[in-house]
Amino acid sequence: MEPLTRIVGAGDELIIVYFIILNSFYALLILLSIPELWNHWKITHSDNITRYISSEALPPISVLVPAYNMEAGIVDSVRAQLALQYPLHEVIVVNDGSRDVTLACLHEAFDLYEVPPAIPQRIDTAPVHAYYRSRRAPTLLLIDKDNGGKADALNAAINAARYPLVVAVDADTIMMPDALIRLARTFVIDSQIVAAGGTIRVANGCEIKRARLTRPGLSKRFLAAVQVPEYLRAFLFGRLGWNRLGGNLIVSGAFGLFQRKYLLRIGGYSTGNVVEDLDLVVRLHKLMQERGKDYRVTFIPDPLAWTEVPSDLRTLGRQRERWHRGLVRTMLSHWRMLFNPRYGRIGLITIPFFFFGEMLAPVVEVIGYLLTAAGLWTGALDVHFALLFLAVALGYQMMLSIWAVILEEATFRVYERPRDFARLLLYAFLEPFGYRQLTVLWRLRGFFNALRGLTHWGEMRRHGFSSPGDARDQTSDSGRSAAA
Amino acid sequence: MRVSTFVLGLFAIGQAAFVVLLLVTLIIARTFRAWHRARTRRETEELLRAAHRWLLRKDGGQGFLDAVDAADFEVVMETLQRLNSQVAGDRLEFLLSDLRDTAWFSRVRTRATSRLWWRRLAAANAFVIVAMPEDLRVLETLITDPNRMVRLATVAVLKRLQSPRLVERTLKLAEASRSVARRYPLEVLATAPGFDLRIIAERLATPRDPKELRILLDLVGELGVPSFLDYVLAHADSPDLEVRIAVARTLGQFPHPSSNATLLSLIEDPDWQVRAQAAAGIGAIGDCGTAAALDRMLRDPSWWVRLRSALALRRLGDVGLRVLRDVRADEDRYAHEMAQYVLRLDDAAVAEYSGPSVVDFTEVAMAPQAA
Repeated sequence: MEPLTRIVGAGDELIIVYFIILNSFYALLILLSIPELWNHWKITHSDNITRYISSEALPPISVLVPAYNMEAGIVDSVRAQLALQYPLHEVIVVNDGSRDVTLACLHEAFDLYEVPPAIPQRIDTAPVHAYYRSRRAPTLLLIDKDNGGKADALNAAINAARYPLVVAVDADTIMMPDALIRLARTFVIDSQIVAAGGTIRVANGCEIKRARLTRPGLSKRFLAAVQVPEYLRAFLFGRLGWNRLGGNLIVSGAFGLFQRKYLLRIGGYSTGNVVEDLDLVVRLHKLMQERGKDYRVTFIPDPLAWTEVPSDLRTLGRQRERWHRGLVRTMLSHWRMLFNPRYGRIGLITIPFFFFGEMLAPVVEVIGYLLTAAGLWTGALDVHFALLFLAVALGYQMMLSIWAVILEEATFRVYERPRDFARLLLYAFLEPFGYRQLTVLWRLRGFFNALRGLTHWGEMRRHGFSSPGDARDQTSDSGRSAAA
Repeated sequence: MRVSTFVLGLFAIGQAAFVVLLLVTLIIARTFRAWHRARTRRETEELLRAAHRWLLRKDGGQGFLDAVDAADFEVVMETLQRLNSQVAGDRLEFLLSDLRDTAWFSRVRTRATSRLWWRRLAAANAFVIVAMPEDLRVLETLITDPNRMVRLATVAVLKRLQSPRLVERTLKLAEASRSVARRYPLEVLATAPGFDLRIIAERLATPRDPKELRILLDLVGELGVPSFLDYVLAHADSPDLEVRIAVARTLGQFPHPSSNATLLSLIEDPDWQVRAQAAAGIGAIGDCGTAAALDRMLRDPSWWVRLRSALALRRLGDVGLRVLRDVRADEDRYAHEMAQYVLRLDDAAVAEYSGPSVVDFTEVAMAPQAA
């Protein structure tokens, strides 16, 4: 028993050291996010955005919208993209081999006519059947192609894009009307930016009419609402903190603005990866670092887009499993960047954090739970100590969530209704109990599936925004899946 | 273990205390915000009422000035921005002139020299509305501010004030920016009323380097002043690729026989980016005599040159349409494909495609070129 006790004791100590290092890093991110958020908040409040709206000085943008089986919401979504406040933008919709009537809906709504395929194929994609333009909306281009997955659809859209900036938007993501201006403004302020991501918020529970968000709110379903503090945490201090550390690794695939020329240089999105956005940004960093260019990949908190999050356990589990699988694959395929001084802060700070702090976290956490149980059983661990440690670990998680809620409250204040705000706080308290452990299990499954080489997307069940009235937790299903 | 338990216990207590502190802060912040919002609403209403009275000539503006002195800085800014976008003319100028004697304007001056950039930004935004020639010294400082936001905000003052120094600084700001970020200062210059063109003429005559020249050419294109045409033509055979692209782009804004002649020579350029831009320029001028040259360019090995030539032909009307229809697939498959593509576009799509110089060929040049 003695050797086993010693092993368990040593394992527990290692877990504690890991916990302290990881959470110290999170604390650092919090600290760094404060001045960053302050700066952005001041820009948001002090800069006169109408100056840009009335000017043609903003760089033109191509909005890329991949769509797969989106018959229920595609027309409203495209209309909303066309109506965005921006001096000059085009919308490129890619029908990625939908098996429903997405194409027919678009035909009818926009009076499409076919044009010959005279678009340079700089990035290889699945075969394109036809290109359509619209008689009703001259800035709309539709590409109809074989199913090749989201990354492939985005690559087809990048090929056809004409403008220097491109923004990839999911068809079921709702951008605020001024989101493009707010995102593009950063390219005017800072000419070193090659990519910028905005904030994604949870749309479940919000009032949405014709793909326009009319009133923010919290979902009545626990599973959807509990993800709100999680998203706030990820965006409001995670990514802002990384801005200061000089290495934002995630520009959300649902809402990110890129300089097109760099996307072409790296060959567009990688079709073999299930989290194509992370992989793309890592390759972008790699390119810029290898060429020794001054550049920035940044996160801007004030441009808002809203997305529907899974509200049933099965879909959420699939999503989190896929995200983690993609993270593992990306980290493993770029392992040469790990602690490599050639890649600057990205190689020395960001990639190591994502490798050890994010990729291995579920494995370490599960081992931690098992070792704690073993420690208690063998007597290597004091019960009081174990309980205290658990309380501190969960309390820390809770504190991070509440801090994110505070940042939200101090700056953008999306959830004005006191009832929503109170519930948001409640979910920040409840998140560490049960929900967190579930996500750890899903991520662990993703970890092992990545090692097994699985590359499927899995079906994503969505409820959609498209029916009239829409306080969005209904059970109808627009069924978007993006099988690669 | 006992020590560790003690430390952990302390940590847990500290954590719990911190969470309570955060919650109390949240409640206080909510209460304060509700009070602040009510105050702001009250002040805004008061200011708008005073502005309304002034607009209806019910008073000479003293009521508005009193309300300005009593209101929060940001509330005044918002109201002035609204007023400035809706009202113009001498009456507004008199009111703005009177504003300079208010406590609010003293705050603008103080903010202009603040150590905090967002205060200087607020001052720059205020000057965009209320600046007078006597503020030029402050503005010259603000336009060279270390913070780019402040510099960009100050540039907009050119829409209100004329100053060679501010123009110089704005050109420098454009030079220091990469292409995506350059358009804003140039656009402000191009739309600035009464701006002294001699500054541009002098710099065009003796440009310091190709980068400065490219920026000046872009600005000249935006301005579209005929007297600059000779300066532009003089650089058509520049050894610098981007200067030739800029010349081709700018000439499209000058419908003149000498522009056409130069553009027709530029379509023979060895670099495809120049040829594509020249084709776009020819299309913008729309001279039917160029149809044969555009027909030849439809056979160009570059996709961009073919696209621009086909669009230019569409813009020539019947003559161009005939050329496009006559392109035969057995002669040149790519030319035929492009001609068919552009023929199928409706007029709105052609206009949208051929719009302002939306493709920066210097950027396209970085990507591999497809046939």
